[in-house]
Amino acid sequence: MDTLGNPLTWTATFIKANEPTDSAKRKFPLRLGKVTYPFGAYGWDSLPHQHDLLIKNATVWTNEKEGILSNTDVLVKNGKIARIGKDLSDASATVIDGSGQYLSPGIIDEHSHIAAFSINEGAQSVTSEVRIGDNLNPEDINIYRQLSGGVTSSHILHGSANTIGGQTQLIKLRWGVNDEELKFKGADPFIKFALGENVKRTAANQGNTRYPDTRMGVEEVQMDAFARASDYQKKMKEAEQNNKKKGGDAQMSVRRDLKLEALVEIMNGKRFITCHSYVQSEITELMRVAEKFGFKVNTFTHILEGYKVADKMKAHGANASTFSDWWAYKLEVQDAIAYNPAIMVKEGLNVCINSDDAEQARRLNQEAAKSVKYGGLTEDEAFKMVTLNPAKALHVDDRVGSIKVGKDADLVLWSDNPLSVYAKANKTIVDGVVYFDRDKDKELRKQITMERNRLIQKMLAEGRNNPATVTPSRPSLQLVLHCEDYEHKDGLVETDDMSEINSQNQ
Amino acid sequence: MKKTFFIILTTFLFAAIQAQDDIYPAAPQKGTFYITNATIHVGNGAVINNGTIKITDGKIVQVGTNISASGDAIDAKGKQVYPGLILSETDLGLKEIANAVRGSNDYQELGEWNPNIQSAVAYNTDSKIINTLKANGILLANVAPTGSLVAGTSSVMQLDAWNWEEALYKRDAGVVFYMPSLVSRRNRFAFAAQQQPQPDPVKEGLDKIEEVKKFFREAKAYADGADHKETNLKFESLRPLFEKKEKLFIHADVVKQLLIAVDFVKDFGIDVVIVGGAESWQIANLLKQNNISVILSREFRLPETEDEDVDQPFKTPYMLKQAGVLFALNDDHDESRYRNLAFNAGQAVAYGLSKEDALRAITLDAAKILGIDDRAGSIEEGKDANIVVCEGDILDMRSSIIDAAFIQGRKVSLENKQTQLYHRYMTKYGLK
Repeated sequence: MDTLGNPLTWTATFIKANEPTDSAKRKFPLRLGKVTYPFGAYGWDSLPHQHDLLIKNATVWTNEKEGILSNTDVLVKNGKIARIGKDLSDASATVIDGSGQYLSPGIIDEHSHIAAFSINEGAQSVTSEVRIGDNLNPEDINIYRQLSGGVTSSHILHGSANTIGGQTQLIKLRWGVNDEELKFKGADPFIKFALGENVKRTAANQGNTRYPDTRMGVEEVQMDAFARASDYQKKMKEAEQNNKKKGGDAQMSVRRDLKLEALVEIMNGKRFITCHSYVQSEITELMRVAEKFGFKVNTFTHILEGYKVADKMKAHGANASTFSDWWAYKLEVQDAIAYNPAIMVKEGLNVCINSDDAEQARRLNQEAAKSVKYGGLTEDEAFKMVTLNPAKALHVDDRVGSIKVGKDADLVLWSDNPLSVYAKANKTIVDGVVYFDRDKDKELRKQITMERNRLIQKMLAEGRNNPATVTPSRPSLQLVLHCEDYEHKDGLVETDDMSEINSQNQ
Repeated sequence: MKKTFFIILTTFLFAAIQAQDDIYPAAPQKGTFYITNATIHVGNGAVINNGTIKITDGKIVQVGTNISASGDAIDAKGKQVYPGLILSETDLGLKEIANAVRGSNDYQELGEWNPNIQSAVAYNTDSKIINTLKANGILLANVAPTGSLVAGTSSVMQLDAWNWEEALYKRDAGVVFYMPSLVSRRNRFAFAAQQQPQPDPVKEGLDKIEEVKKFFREAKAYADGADHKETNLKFESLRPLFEKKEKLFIHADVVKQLLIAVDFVKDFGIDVVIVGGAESWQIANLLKQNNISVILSREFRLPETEDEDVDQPFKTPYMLKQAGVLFALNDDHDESRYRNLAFNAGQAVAYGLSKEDALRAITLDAAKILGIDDRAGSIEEGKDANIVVCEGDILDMRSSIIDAAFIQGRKVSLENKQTQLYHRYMTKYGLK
């Protein structure tokens, strides 16, 4: 490869070995690399800015009652969609030619584990006090990779090792910003629950020694947790009332319990559940526990047997978020079928397609398209499963999920029909900021190639000067997390273990 | 033909469902039938518009536009017709519930020196995965053992059979070798034992590879010898490699491994196929020079490193094509269980490959790599009638709805456990 990334062919003939040179005579200047945001591959020299944008002559998939509008312009002002129509003009806006392209709302991934340093707090089966938002990793390259697939928001979930897992974090994929600025401000708080094999730790190599070990035990863990939370709430109220009384008893105090506090929020409709679930018995069981304590399960995520109890889920008022065609990777997904999303849509549920996988998240549009093939959904119904429907399930459909005046300008400009395998995201826009641009991407690749060459030259020079100080290089490991206990990795240097990274860095 | 289809359909509607026990392998095809008015994607790059295929006793006897059809004819007007898709390396039929249920799995034997292990004898024709593949147009599969070093011998199976002997399409297609990883990284649990010096994984891998070469040298000497006092089954199973009757399938991804694969060609004069090939684009010319073909395990994978091009896996097929390397696209995704093979090819089209070249990589070129292109891989005279009729573009999930599939002229059922459960619950909800 040359510095521009073009392959080149060369041959060399061995003549003689180099004589060792007197290293003291040669000095190489100390050159430092540029600071980029984030500080790694595909980082920006400076963060991209919000501009007013006018996207001209695109085929616009609105997800609203207007449906698909051909040759239409969309004006973005201050990060919001300002106008939709024909022949729009705006003096201050940067014009983007959308002719021959498709403009859609950004993809929203209901179930993701990117951009976090850790996923499972696995010591106990109830960990409602922990928060994904406290350990976001804004430098995760998968943020950029998902932008290249048209994703604009991801719901970062705690893993599925626990019956009651941790608090989740909805983020917008603002590549280059810090962890706080990634957060989707003003969104309702959610929490991850889980059922079945992962909670029972079926896949654990050493066998499970932690309660629960059966689906019977899982139900009991839920009952126990919410019974404790109910008692806690009662005590808190009693204390509050008592302490309001003038001249009454002495002040009462109850020790604050963050674990139970999160559960009290759930019971009061202030925090919402997304629950990892597969088989029909456990789905029904959790709905009944919830009803006993007077709340609803907001979303069943993965939900591969949702088609078996779609009527019950509808009656309860739950959303469904599932895979398009995964199955037979463990016992509890033997009956998973690719027709699941279509059946649930036809039964009237709000259905999303999620990734749970940094690779698959880059092409959730294709995953949605599979429900046209399996079960005959319309293209409109299919595409909503990765845009408007997850926005509804996450209670942010007033902000994102469709192209409507007043909503956030989270948009994707596609090269082809967004449900097609041939569609590439040419531009991905979050809050009116272009965070992925296929042309800009080419420039970033050149920069990476040049930086790589610079580092190699520096190492070679260093090696010539001071051979003793140069240790053999070792590729840095890349952290990739999944909610499951089983391994699933793509890259050469991926790991799901932060401690491995730490040990390597020592 | 239509009558047969009706009988299959009614059998399905009135039979008990869910266990797929009522999905029958089709009987051998006798006599002549035609597929008419079709857009025929031959598999070799050519497309015949408004064409007809004449099939007699399981073989394609004529393909073209000037064939008059009489008797049994399937009208494929407005449809796309393709050769049966080929999964070029898989554990199909050996691994049922992925990695989770030990008892359902027969894909990896103990030990490192297992060239004599044969996938064919363990292939389970009643696997519930198989019928979901046929429903997506995949009609042949090279079933291979997996392993930690020399894993075993693969066989090509056709996917509509009562038992493994009937399923055999080509016995012993190749020997599978998993090259040790040559990526320098610490042992996963090294932090627990930091006091002891850590072994260098690269050196360990290279040492292991030397052992494999020694094993091959001994096997070659054995093969060259006239007679033996004792039979060595492991060496016997490598003999077809030296006679070029089988190929060596080397699982390798990084350049260092690929360069060693080239050594195997040079040192032993054998045919080598790379399986995996993530970095094959970096030395495509060298692979071409050494006549090494590549099976790319999966298009839908992340780049190998953080700084690699975000779409590198998607454009690798086009880069291999440019260099003239013979390659196949595969699907080894454990969660969707291999049925997205055609979409892997579609993804490569979005990143440079032509549609017909992408099709080649899952039909004719896969057949070439597996050594079955005399019988399969394209819709050409004299070949087995392995044919798929599709509503639209088979490479795009938007339109990839399979209408009919034929293996050796037999019209195979497209029903599977998933369609059965679909009908069952559509019935429950009165949705039909």
